[in-house]
Amino acid sequence: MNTITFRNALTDMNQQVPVQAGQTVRQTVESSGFIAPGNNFSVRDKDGQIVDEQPADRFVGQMLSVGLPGDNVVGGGAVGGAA
Amino acid sequence: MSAADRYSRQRGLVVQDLIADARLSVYGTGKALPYLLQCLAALGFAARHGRLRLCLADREVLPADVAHQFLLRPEDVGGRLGAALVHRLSAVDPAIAVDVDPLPLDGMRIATPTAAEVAAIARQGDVAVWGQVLPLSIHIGPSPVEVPDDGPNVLTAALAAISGGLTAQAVLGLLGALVRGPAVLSSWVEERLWVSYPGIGRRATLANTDAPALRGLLDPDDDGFEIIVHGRAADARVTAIVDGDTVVASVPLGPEAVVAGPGRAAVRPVHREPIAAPTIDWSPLATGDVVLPERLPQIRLVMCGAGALGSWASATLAATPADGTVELCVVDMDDTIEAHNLNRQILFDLEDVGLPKARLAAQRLTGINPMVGTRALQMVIAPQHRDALIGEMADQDYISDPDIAAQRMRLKELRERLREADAVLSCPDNQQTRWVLNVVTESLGIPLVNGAVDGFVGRVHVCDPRDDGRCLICWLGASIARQPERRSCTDILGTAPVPAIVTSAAVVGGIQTAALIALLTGHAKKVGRFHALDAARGELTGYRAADRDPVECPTHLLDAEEMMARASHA
Ligand SMILES: [Zn+2]
Repeated sequence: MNTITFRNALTDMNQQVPVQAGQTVRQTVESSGFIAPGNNFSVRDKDGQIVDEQPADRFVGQMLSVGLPGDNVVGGGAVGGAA
Repeated sequence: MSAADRYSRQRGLVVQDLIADARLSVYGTGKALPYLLQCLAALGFAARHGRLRLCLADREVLPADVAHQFLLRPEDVGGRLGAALVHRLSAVDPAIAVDVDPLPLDGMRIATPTAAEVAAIARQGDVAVWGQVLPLSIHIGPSPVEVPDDGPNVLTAALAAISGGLTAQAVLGLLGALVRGPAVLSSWVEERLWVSYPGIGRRATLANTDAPALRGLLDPDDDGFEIIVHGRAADARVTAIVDGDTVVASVPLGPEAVVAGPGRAAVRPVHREPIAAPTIDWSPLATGDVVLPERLPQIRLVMCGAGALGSWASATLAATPADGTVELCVVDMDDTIEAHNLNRQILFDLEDVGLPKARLAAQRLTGINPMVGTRALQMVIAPQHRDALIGEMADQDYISDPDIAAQRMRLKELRERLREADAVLSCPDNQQTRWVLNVVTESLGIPLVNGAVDGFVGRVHVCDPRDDGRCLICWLGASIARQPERRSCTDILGTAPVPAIVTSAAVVGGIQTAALIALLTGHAKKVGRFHALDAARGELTGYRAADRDPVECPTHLLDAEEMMARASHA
């Protein structure tokens, strides 16, 4: 069966979830019960890219990290990286 | 400098008029008081028709009043407390209308009490929000908690900044001044107004008419925004759609604009519903059974970024009493302080505009606490410096270009400071700098305490390799190695300024310092390693979080490096 492994970024809990045809990553997490209903979340791949709205079948066999939305905040000070 | 410059970075987040016209009475002389007042002044409270009242029985300033804070100065000891607070607040914002009287104004009442003051203030009734500092935690909420008066400790200054910031944030909500949901970002490009807001371009396309009204597209349900030009509502029409989230509008400008130009205009939220104060209980420690010293031990730190987070993190650290010297190397790339920094970068005030930032920050910190020895390095930390910072750095005989020679000297000095450091405070405005700092701290085996903030959302990651804590790549993914985008005071998002506000900076900078102090006083095994702020929802939560994955973590450091190498050759 085609599955994705979701990992909770805060607790390290893992769950293998079967992928249904046509589902997005977000829908797969929601239907799996991995996150309690009503809780906000955001899913990222190993590289750190947000993949919430991508087709789930693209990530079959992979581990995706489920965390809080907004984890990609960037701002803060002024030490430039683009020299 | 106009008020528009000063508050330009918070315009998309709060309704400035409501803040400027607010009437607010503050009870109590707890540790959060000076931090609350600094936040209120930086926000622009009572800067127009409003008034801020300090409801305190006036007395002499005691040495305990000037400890663990940096609004009052040591020379205020012996003077009158009320007058000293008013004087120091006026330096933060000369426009603030503030007075001292035991009787409150009509309007909202809030409290930042000491443990001993709670009961008496509660008897006076009707306090909308309490901001308290406990020995190991903070409490914010519509009701107070009863706590024993244990006296201050090494966490007190950082906790007080967090408590003050969250209390000010609760006031914004209570006033109905909070723009919930995404901020509207707008800026003028020549004669046109560029507006970024989620879905606005898509709605303009669907409107299917020529030049639809901007206001209806911003908030189709309740007309929550208006477009103001020189104080008057203007009828802006969308004339071009840039993408799904950005449009360009043309705005009829009145005769004033001919004189003053179109700059003094804003997309402004009209009205929001007031929201009750949230209840927040937070600690930097995941388990509470620790005993803390009263003073910092001797420590050496490197702090990268002296902007919003860096100024709050370093100022709360400097406000913490120390037994030994606190050696702090401040690294920042920005040249000078600008007017629009002042709504949140608390180390600087009006008369500092135009002065060099890193150097002045260092000077201010030593002024707060003479035990803080500072070194300022004005430089960029970029991926190409990684090798020099962690590997060997060969001596070069002669470099003819003086700029390159100076840059090399700074790099060399930073390398030395990092080698001596007990920890690194990461407060930059971009992910690539965070990535470089992560590589360096992992290679040196020292903790990295990272902060990030965008608008009302903030994050702190405590990455301690000695504690098997996750590194920043464990948290954020390897892609941070190739994200050079800056989000800061000097930068803009698309064409619009990035929103930034003092309350989030005080809270996130304070959390960084609280976590750092918990680590450096021997509590790495108990510190929360991830903290998430969602200030618009009234949420601040700390998590211990799982350890790093011992297989994945060293590997992804190398993956990220390879990715970086590929990107730089591409
Ligand atoms: Zn890692």
